[in-house]
Amino acid sequence: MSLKDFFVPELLFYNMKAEDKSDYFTKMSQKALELGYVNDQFEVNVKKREDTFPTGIQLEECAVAIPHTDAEYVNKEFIAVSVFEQSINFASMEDADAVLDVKLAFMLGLNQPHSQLEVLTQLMTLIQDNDKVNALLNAGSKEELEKILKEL
Amino acid sequence: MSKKILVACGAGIATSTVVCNKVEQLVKDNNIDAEVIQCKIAEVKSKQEGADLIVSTTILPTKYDIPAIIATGYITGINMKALDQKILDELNK
Repeated sequence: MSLKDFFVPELLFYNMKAEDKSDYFTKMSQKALELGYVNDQFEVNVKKREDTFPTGIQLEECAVAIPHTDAEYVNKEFIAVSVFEQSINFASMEDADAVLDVKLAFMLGLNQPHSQLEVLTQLMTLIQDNDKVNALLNAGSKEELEKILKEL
Repeated sequence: MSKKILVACGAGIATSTVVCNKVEQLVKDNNIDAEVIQCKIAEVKSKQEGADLIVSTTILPTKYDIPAIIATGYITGINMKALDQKILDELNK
């Protein structure tokens, strides 16, 4: 499985309007629920997990977040990508008191804990690539975002 | 004597998978006999007996009896070499 097989056009958002983290989680979870990717417990659990174990990551040039939760709330695997219109505050993965301005988030819906190494490695390689991250941030439209992700 | 390393993240599903792989590769490359166990951070407390080191990708909610290293560097790509060294130093103690 390759990283791009996990992107779903309906779960890619460019210039996403979200007031805050919680609003983003609600919007994404509802959409994923509507499409059958998660069950109705996903939203509350992805929020709960983010509060306990934040997923913001400070990269060299910007910050991203990779929210996720336990496998039991995921019906069908996906990676949802959001580029926010306005940055959203996430706490840092290594320090809950550090607030990061996140413009790009990858919500992971995984339910095969020990077989996703390849996909996750590809995602980590992607976020470590400044050029690719900048391309996603500057995509300009949803179509462009989709195109970049397809060509990864 | 064989070492035992716990690799933990919040859910034991995403970031720890990547870090697990990095740590496994690291010990292999350095000919260290070690068992790498992936788990949820909440399980660390009960699994730490007999283990030598905790490598976590997230904040640690509590203090442990064995050394703990936060390894977000494997995810961000920042200071990975220094992180390798820190883990090796701990295992070679």
